[in-house]
Amino acid sequence: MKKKGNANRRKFLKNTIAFGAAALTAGSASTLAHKTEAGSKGTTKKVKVLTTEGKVIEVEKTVSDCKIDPCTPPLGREARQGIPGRSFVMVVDLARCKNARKCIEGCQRGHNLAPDQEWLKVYLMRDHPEGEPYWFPRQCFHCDDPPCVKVCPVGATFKRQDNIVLVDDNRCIGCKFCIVACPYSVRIFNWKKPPESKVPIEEYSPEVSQPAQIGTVSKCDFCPDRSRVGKLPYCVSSCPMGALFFGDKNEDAVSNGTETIRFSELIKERVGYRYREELGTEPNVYYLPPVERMFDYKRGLESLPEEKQKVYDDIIYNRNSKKNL
Amino acid sequence: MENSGVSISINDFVHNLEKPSKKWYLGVGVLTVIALFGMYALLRQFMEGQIITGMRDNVVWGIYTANFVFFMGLSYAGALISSISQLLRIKWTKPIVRIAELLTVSTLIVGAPFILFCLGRLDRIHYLLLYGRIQSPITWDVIAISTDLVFCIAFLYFTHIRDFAKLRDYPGLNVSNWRKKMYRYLALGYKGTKEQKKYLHQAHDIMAAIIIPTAIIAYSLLSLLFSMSLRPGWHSTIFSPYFVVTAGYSGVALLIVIMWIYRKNRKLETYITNLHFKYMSFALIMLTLIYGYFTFSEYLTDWYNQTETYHQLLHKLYDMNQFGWLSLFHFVFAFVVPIIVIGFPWFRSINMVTIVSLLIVIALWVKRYLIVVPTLETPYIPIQDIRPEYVHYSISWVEWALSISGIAVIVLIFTIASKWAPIIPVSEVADAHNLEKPKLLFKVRNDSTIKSQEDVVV
Amino acid sequence: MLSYKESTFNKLISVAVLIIIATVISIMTADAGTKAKKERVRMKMYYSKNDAGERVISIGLTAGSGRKMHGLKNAPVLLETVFNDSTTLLATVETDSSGLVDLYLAQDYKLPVNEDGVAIIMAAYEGDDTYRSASRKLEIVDLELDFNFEIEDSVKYLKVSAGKIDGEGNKLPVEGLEIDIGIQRLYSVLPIGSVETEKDGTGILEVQDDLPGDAKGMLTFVANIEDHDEFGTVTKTATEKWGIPVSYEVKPLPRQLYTDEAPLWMIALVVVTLAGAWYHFFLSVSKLIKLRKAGQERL
Repeated sequence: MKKKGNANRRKFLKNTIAFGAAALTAGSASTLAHKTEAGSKGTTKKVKVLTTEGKVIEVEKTVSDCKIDPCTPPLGREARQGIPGRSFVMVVDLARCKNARKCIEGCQRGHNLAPDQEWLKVYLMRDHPEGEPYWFPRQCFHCDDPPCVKVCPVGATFKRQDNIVLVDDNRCIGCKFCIVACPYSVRIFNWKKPPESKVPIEEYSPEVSQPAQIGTVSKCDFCPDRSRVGKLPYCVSSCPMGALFFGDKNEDAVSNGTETIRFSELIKERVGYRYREELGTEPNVYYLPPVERMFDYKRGLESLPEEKQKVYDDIIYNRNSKKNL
Repeated sequence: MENSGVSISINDFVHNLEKPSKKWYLGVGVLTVIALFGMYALLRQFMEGQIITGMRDNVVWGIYTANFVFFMGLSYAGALISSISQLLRIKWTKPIVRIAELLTVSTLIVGAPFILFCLGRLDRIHYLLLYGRIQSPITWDVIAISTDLVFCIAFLYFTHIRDFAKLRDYPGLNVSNWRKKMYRYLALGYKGTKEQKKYLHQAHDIMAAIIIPTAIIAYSLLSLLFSMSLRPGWHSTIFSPYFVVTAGYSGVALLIVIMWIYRKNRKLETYITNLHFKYMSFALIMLTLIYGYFTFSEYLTDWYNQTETYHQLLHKLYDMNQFGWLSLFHFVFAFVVPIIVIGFPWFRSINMVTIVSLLIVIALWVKRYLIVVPTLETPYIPIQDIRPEYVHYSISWVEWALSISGIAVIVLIFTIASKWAPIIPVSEVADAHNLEKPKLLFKVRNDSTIKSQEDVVV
Repeated sequence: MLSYKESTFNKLISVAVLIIIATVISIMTADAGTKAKKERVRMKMYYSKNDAGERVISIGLTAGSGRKMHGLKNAPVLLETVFNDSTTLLATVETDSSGLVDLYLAQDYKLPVNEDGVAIIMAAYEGDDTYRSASRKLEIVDLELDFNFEIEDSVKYLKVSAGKIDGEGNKLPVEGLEIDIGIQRLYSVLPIGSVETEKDGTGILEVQDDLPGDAKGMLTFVANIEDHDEFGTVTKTATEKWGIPVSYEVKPLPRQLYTDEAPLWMIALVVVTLAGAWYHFFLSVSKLIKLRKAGQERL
């Protein structure tokens, strides 16, 4: 635990020093937000120090982003364990989503996905014919009773103790049974050769999900490699509306980058629910109902190219398939 | 019994086993070419990835899975017919049991790989053994199908032993030496002594007895591939018996077609008689009714279920712009036409029964397609995709090539197997009259105070 | 109809010509304008003091506006301190590629302060051919935050005291200072409330009982004032065992359908079924072996 304490403190130093004023109120000082892409290991950075003699010298300073030991994503068997004591959850505030699709782009960039591969999809939902449509971002739900893991014949996809369900592309045989078993259409398949990745194949870890391999399944991984260095998942940090919250349920805190809220209070106050609870999959993604929305759903629709808008016709105008029977 | 088979002799068949005709070579050649084209398609798929198939996210399983279920289903009827006739000493089936067994083995050999064609990483097949998880229905299938395959091949071999012995002992058999050697080796020194007969019968009976549950389990497990998923149209408790019945239905239908072909081509009317068509079409109409009953139960339940996705699925199935025509085809040819043609005496002729059987086989393939594809096109979260190939599945040339080459391989196996040993199990037909009584399966002690002779139950 | 069309066409042409002329003129004037006019530069300067007492002066230079706003890289910034109306050069630093620079003050470096403890820091960027000059002034008083953990009637009170250091080095209580209190979490600080200091410089926060801590129940409290006019940004942390312990042990997962290890009943079922099936297979094969032996004996 000593280690963790130290890590926390170091992280804190980094926060306060590098971010300056920007750490907690991102608005005013956002231009100063100093992003030290220090990598996952504790790295040394040169800082300018004004000495007592009045000279400016450059001093090597160890800056560690490390929040969880080890900071580098583990390879092989260890990756199946999960981060001890963590219980990752996501909360999606449907009232804030306006289909800006920045989360998708951030995710694709971060995970080096092809432009047509979306781990994260934003659906337009309408609960009943009288209902108002709303945008519905859907990541992997990282279920506690995951139907996809049950059916994997080789254990290539697995449930970890930190709630995360991952895919080991080195083991996946590509039977696609998990895609079939997932009731949320979360998983996608590498039908063709995936884009080149900077990560060498020897360093492949299920936590990073890179490099992707042809003929294997991939899906949202909750970015545990980023959590190790105290960073929020790509989608969360790229959402301009702060609609996505991520955190550790054991810590009872979720954050969207600017706000940090107690998870239990957020769920209680906003009547958080889980999508299709009746399926019994026990998801770890919670939704806050789209009440008192910040935007009309149409804004998200109008920003899309016309041919893409047609996809939603069904949802908006005639979801009356029952009548035809 | 019209066909006692008393007059049967190996002499009638030896000629057929000797020099193959040019036509035979041509047939084998054509079939091999088709099969090789399928291999080429598979190679392309292996090299380029499954992007060259019609499968995409949402519909991740296409006709490979439908074929898998279809071919495995065909195998099931053969196993059941030959095992039951062996166990119950049914005499009339004897001339067709070898066709049934060959059907079983050939469709198993062809059907099983179709699930492998679905794999994105064929190079990692061995992981199924290396990292196998017992919780996955795929692992169950791998175990059950390989067991079933071994048992069925063994059974096929068992029923060949006496014929091999006959061929070994046939004077002046005009075949190559290695074949003679093989016959000698495979006949296991069978000389037809009383002791040997007893052992052979025991082996047959045990094998037949174990094949029946194995085949039922294997085919039930196949259905679990679907029903274990939380999907509309799949997540159904009657799926296992439904699949078993469908399998038996399609298998019997195909058996009738093959009987017809052999009867035409090989002048085997003496052995495959009117009687066989009569009995088989009776079995077929019974299966039609049972199949109809299951289908009705399944869809009616789904219809009464008001869950949105189930309704969407049913809507897809009956919408003429989507799967309506296929559904209609299936309904007409798997249910209505068989009942009219076989159920009523006016059309009931060998040729008509055969045509109907062929249509049933096709309709049941369509049924498998209708099980796999529409459900995958109806996920819980609606598909909102602009790429048409991601919304609707269409079969690519690679999938067609592999499917057709699958059929070619089945025909090829039949063609070669019937050159290897008589297609009519000569010894069994000859023995049909003086069969030993069935081996007792178990005995029950008589608890009554009066000591009588032992009660036996078969 | 035709004439109408023609007239509209002519109108269109004349409008188009006018637009082109206007565009050309505007481009030319704009060109001339930028040559004469330098780009405006904005400077931001912050002072912060972290938990370890490290003091940092952070400066950011940006040019342009709106979406075109960008950091000014490799720009020399002159830092000076004003004491008794005389200006002393502190240092000259250069911004990095994103237009930012942090200057750490060594632990024992003393900023010259007046009797009230105010240090005045000036930052100036001289500008060059394309950029205008910019400057900023900060008046900073050193603030110290301290924690006190007290439990009364099993209610947890977190006392935060704020004291500013005057010219003589005395610590004077600060009244009416709003301090944010939070708990350090994996990604950020979870706010649990804020206090306003009383006359004696302390503010009291009642801490909830149900906050999960680490494995031992330790919580890291963070007191923070943010970009305060007088004190800049000051942060202080302290750890106390006021949380609910969370187990950090990795317990083996139960044998479940979704785990690597299958439920025992399932293994048993498969083993029994397979054993039954293969037993019969080998039984049957053994009969064949007997058959073969019987044949050999005869020979």
